[in-house]
Amino acid sequence: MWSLNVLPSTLIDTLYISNYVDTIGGYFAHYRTFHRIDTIDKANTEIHINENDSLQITIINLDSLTHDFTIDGVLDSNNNIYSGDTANFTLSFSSIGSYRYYSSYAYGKLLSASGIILVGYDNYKKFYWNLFDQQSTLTDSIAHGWIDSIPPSYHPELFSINNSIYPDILSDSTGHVVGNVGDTLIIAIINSGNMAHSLHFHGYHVKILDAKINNHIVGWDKDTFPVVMNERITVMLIPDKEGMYPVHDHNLISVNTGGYPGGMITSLMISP
Amino acid sequence: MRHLTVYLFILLGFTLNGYAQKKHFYLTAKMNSMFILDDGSTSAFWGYGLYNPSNPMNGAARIPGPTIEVNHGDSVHIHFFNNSPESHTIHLHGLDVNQVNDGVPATSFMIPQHDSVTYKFLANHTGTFLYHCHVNTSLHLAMGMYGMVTVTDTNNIMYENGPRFTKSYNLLASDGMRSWWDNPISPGPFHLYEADYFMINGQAGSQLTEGQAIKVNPDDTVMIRLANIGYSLTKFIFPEGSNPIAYMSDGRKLPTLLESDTILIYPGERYSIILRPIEDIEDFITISYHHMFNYTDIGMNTYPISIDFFNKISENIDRPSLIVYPNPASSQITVNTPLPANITIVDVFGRIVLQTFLIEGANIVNIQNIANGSYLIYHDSGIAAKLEICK
Repeated sequence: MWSLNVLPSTLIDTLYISNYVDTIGGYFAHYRTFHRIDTIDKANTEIHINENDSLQITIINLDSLTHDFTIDGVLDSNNNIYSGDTANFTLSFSSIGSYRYYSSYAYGKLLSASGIILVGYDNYKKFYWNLFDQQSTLTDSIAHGWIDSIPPSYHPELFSINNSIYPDILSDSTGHVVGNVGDTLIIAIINSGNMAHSLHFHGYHVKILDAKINNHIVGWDKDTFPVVMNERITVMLIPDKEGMYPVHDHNLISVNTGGYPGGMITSLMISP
Repeated sequence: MRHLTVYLFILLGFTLNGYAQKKHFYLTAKMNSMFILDDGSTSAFWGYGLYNPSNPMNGAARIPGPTIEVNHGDSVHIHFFNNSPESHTIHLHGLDVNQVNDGVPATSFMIPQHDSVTYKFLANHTGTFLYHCHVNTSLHLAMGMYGMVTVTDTNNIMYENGPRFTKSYNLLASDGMRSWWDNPISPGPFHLYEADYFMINGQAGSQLTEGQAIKVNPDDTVMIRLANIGYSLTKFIFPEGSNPIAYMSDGRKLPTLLESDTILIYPGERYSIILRPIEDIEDFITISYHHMFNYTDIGMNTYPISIDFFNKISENIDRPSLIVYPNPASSQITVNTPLPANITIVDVFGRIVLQTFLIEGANIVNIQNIANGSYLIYHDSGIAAKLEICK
């Protein structure tokens, strides 16, 4: 008696770290991102690893400042990658679900150098939402290392998903959920920002499959749930009807970047 | 085809619940209303109210809007008349309605001044839901355009095979910014919203009086619907011994019960809890409001609660009682119950150690896996009994 098993394999990938400035929704800001191509990409690259596989990743630092490559629960931050240097890591993940990789330096993580790794859910359609908030006027000081923490007077005006705001997010194939009635859709969500967000789904409830911080909500069916700072959440949506439905932060200060509706909003487009 | 749709609607309603009906509500929107604040001053607000269909112009708005109370399986029609100068909608938050009834301007439609529309949904899940305007939501919601929707089983069972309650209360948390209420035409950038007035059911501070207290009488099993439509994290902190247990959130059964004296509710979330008290209480539920950035405490309210626990467990010949024997017991007990219902056994800290369903009359309950100690047995009808386990 034997069964056909898929043997574990290793995903080989390369990410570059670089910096850029951009004006989103009328607000100028500095950014740093991890991206798969050696030209600047405004969104951090999402990585999917099949269940039981490992990841062999090369990080090339194109930025002028030192960074590291940190994954909470998987890889500590004591691995400086100096400007122009390259580092290699071989990583394995003990369970399926969403993880967050990031540069732990303030000028990294506070400027969005933070992305999603999703492990497992191999045979389903997968989407990625990297929530981020910024106060435009702080980013210059952070980028130059003049401040290394968010002050108590924080008033963010830049709210984004995958460093994109609504309606631009609709052209992002990882952030705009497109599927059919009856599909099993997996959405990996992390909060790379500096405050809690409360995501509300129109039209559907989703099942919480995985939550690294608010783990008491795992297994719950919710239409609204918190995504606190540094959270990593995986949800499953099986749409029962067609239609176009928004998903947004229900702390409604965050849905105006670039005008209403804007900011931290995306959409579900479900066909029959 | 239209008739077929109606027939299917009714058929499905009766399948879900033998008492399902078509329910009609007549909601209006107004932008020129005033309400009284805790300090006695008045403030402008925008809100929803009820109107008489024979005279739609006469409806008055409230903050929060009127609660839409329906039964499980009902076919609900909300006839909305906009009696205000700007366009509005009704978003049925958490009810998973189809796109056309979702109340989002970009994907359905807005209702301009003096126009009307009927929103429809089938109440196919019990639980606690919300409604609010989805036009320029950051402003319209902060101005007061929101309310609750409650879907209740006609037998007061929280969900299929769930616990029964005898009485329910709604606590809707919200907040506002007084400078926006004073000047909604140019309130300033929306991201600079800083709530400075905090409400429960539209009231604050000294307005939340003893007369509104949550009262748990000896025969009561009390369910409380908690919801947050504000812009801040809200903590409902219950007095020690009141023992709130969350059975549902966002209109769905929880796979494991949440047993905590503090229930955290983020913007847009809802919880349904049942109190399993373990002592007499004359106290307050503290509701604290916290910034979503650093969780700074930015506001507080207290809501009175009164629990008559002593008489709940006292034997009283004037009402049915829960008879438990032997007591003390070691491995099994017989529980004689006047009605079929769930019973819940909790320890002296209010932690649930066993839940099971009992038929009317004598039932044998295995307690072998419960440690020595003092316990309370709660019956869904509100009655309770003490139990001592000694092995």
